[in-house]
Amino acid sequence: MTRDEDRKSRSAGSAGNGATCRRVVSDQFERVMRELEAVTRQSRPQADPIVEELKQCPEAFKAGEMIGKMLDSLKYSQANDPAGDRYLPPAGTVIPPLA
Amino acid sequence: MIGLPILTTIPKIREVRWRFCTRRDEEPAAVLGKSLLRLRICQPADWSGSAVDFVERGFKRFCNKHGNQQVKKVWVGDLRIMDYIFDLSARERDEAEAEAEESKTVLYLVGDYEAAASIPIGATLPHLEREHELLPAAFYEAFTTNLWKWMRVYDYAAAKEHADMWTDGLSEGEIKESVYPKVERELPACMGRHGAKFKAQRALPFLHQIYPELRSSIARSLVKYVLEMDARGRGSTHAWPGNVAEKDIPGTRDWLTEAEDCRPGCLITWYEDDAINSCFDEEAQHMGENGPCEPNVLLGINLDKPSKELDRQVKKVFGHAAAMLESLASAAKIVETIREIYDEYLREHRFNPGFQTEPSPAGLWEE
Repeated sequence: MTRDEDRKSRSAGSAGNGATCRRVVSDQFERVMRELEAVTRQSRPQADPIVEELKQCPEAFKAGEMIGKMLDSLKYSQANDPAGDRYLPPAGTVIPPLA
Repeated sequence: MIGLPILTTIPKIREVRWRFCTRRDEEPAAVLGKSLLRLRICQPADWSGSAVDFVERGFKRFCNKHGNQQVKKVWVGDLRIMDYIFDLSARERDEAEAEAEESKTVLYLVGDYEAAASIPIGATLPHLEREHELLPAAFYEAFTTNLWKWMRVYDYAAAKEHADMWTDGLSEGEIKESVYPKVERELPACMGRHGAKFKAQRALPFLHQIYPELRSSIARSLVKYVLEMDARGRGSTHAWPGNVAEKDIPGTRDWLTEAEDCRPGCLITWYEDDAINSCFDEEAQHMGENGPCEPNVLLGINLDKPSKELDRQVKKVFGHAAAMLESLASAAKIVETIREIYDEYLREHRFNPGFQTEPSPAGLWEE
């Protein structure tokens, strides 16, 4: 190999290394950009699937609201409330689970 | 003394970050991080898995590149990227975040000083006067004008204003006994004769013109650095918090309504125990009494913008930070020289630095 050929092959090799280097840097750049993009996407409030379904069927929302009110009245009823007496067992009663 | 071994072993876990942030903090940092990556301020190697870390690493490197280490020799303070203008306690932050429905869409570049850097310039003025009778006033004007770009400066003018205001309600006898008349009396002759003549527009051409003719190394160094300071900050104006436009960063005005004026970043006295110092002490006692003080520098970055516009904003804000640090790095060299001259003056006059030779009237009132 003559000196000129040697020089040419070296410069070609270094050019190749340079291109590889640039590609690696560019890949890293893209990877970090994707990671950052993922952070911003994760943080955006996701649509709640239950809310989405309720939007499709507003009647279900009404029914749910009524059940919620019923359960609230049980939960917060006073001791002398006859409705409360009917639903709640006497104090101290042990209720086996899934009886 | 060697203590007993403790029973608890703390494991050292490698490649695990020391800090984790909530998503609420991560999202704005990620938006800013993308812009910093596009602008080559952050590098891919800065990525550790946290967007906040990513921004912090890039910003730290940026500050060091622009002279942060030199600035730190004289100024104690912070230049920070924050999601709120003021420091919040954990509780205040929780409350603020509970009120806000979404992540923050605004970040701020906040610059503030923990203390006013002492610059006793009196002993330096004769060195300049020996070169040219107008040099002290021209140098002083150029130096203070450039400092004002980055901080509130407390100097003769501020002390005079304070003295005039407080003299109003006093009787003649009280005025005589007070420190206020001393403010004007202590003004060095070279400043009194020529100080009013010089404005920065005149001072700078004068300094450029005289620089090649200066013989003493002290005068050459001081003029060189003040010209460098001016060149590095050219085109920048003070980013006062009040300049942040409500239309660009909504809600900022509400934050600032209750705030007091910012604290000075430097105190330029003739000598450390002079009347300017006494006036400063009086004012400093009441700073921040009625609410938090505004920061010295405030610039907003509205993250809710298209990439191109966001990059333009970030470039502008970081450009301001770079100019500030570089200009203050030159200023720090000036202050170091001024302090060396002052120390020499004290040695010659057998004073101890910072030691008051007589109690000031302000000190007496306090007692």
